[in-house]
Amino acid sequence: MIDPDNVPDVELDEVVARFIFKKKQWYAKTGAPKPSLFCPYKHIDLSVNRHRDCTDDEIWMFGKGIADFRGDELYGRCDIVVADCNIETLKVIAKEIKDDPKGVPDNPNHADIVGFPEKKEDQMSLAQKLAAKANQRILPSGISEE
Amino acid sequence: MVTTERKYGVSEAAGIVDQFVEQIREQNNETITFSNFSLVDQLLDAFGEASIDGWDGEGSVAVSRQTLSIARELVESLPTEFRTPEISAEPDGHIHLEWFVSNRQVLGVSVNPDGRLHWAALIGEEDPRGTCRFAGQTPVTLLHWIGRVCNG
Repeated sequence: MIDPDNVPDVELDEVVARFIFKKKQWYAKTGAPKPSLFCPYKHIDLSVNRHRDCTDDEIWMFGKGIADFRGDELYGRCDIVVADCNIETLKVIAKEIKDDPKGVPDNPNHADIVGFPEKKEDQMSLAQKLAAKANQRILPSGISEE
Repeated sequence: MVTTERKYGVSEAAGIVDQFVEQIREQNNETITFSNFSLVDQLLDAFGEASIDGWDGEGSVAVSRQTLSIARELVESLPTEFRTPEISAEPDGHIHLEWFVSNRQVLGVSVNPDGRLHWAALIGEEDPRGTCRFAGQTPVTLLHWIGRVCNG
């Protein structure tokens, strides 16, 4: 994983993951993510996890940590290249999580997709574009499809 | 004696869902078509999943009865010639209807508790979007875009 004392800026050729915590966030037939997976709420930023310097096990460890914190199931992740996130007003910025007062697990690989507009329909439109660029759902390691 | 089985649990939300099902049955005189029934089921699932605040992480908002009621009216007003949408709850308490053909042929409609419908479509490179008010009938704008997404 990224050295917590030296978190580099996000580069365009990096890959980030959006973890899936709800069953209705991908299409069962194709495994493609639904736009709702990329629709921000409340903070108008969208959390993602950088693959940079991570093993696959470490990526899943971060996902599992968030799932446990939320009390949710981890159903998988969808990966997307950072350059494909730079749509209209959006960009990806490094946002390390450290000593979070609410107890969110530390994560030097955490990043946010920022720049979502306020209007719901504009957010929905950007979420559709992100979902169109993202890869199909990847199952957590050691888990097979039902 | 006729008894009504409570299908969706024993909580207050489950009671509301039961009432809702009963209302739909009465309105449809027990002749719910398969596609409508599927949509009603989806609505009930969405409401059941999101019936309490915090259902989708910190700060997420429960779907209100008002939103459920508007979404039901919208669903009932949809023309049957198009494919049925997938329905889900959103973290802000809205109900989401989605018509998906492919990842570049998709329409989403978000039902707001005050009767506004936020919508966005992606059709190839076109990305129309907007907000309209629901007044008992599927808005013409939405009919146009549902047709574009479903019929190509």
